[in-house]
Amino acid sequence: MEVLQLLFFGMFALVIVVSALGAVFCKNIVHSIVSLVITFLSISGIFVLLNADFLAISQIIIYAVGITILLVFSIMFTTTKDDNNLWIAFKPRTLLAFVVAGSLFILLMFNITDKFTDFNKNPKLFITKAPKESTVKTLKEQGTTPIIGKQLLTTYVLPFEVLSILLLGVVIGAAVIAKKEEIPPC
Amino acid sequence: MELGLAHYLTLAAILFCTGILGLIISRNIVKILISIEILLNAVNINFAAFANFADLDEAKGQIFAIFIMAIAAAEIALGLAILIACYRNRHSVDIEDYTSLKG
Repeated sequence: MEVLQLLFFGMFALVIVVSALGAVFCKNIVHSIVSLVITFLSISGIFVLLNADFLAISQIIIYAVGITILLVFSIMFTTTKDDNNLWIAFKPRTLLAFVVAGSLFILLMFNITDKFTDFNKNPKLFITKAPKESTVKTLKEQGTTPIIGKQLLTTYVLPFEVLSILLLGVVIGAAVIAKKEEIPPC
Repeated sequence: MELGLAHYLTLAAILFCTGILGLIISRNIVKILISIEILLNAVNINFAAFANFADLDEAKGQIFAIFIMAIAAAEIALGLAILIACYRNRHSVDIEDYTSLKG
């Protein structure tokens, strides 16, 4: 079981890293969006490995379908053939970006692996604890949906409602911003 | 070798650095929005990993990941609306053309 999990993790991780790099470095913007969809689908596989089935399905519905359709539509509206030669900026900031991303990665790995010494065990910095037996039973029978649903409508009901107002505002705001402006009569 | 928290955090770190790289070096505005999505996904992996290994009873991390997903959808909708409004004025998606704030 452990070996199988490790195998799936390695497969998904490889696909995620390669396709994320593809999304950033593809020259054609449509290719990079297809690559982005592959990234999103593999991330939902990672969520399944992390006992987060509700999150995995939401990932597919929201990211791999919704956001992709928005991106493709916006490309149809804006991009012309000349834009295919917009690749990466050959400016000083490109070099700076590689330095920033590389040093950030080294810094993160320094902390995650406990000063590059302790990769296989869980780092001592993070306290991990085993779940209760009742939680394991719920997970096996029903998944995480009841846990998330209860929490969303009790503890986190205020953020949940605020989020719905935010989404309403975004719908109205996006329609107003993208609307064709009429020149007002003087 | 056992699959632990460090593996997921490493994957999220790689994804986050890729996103930051794409955010700075891209010239196409749509590609910058793509990079922001990659960043938010890396954060989601971290939240789900910590929810799995530290707090599976209440799964707080997964709830925050759902909030992040909703906010990401809102962000991409607004970002693309702004992109279309800008495109109407400049007829370009090249980030180097938007320099009117430079003075």
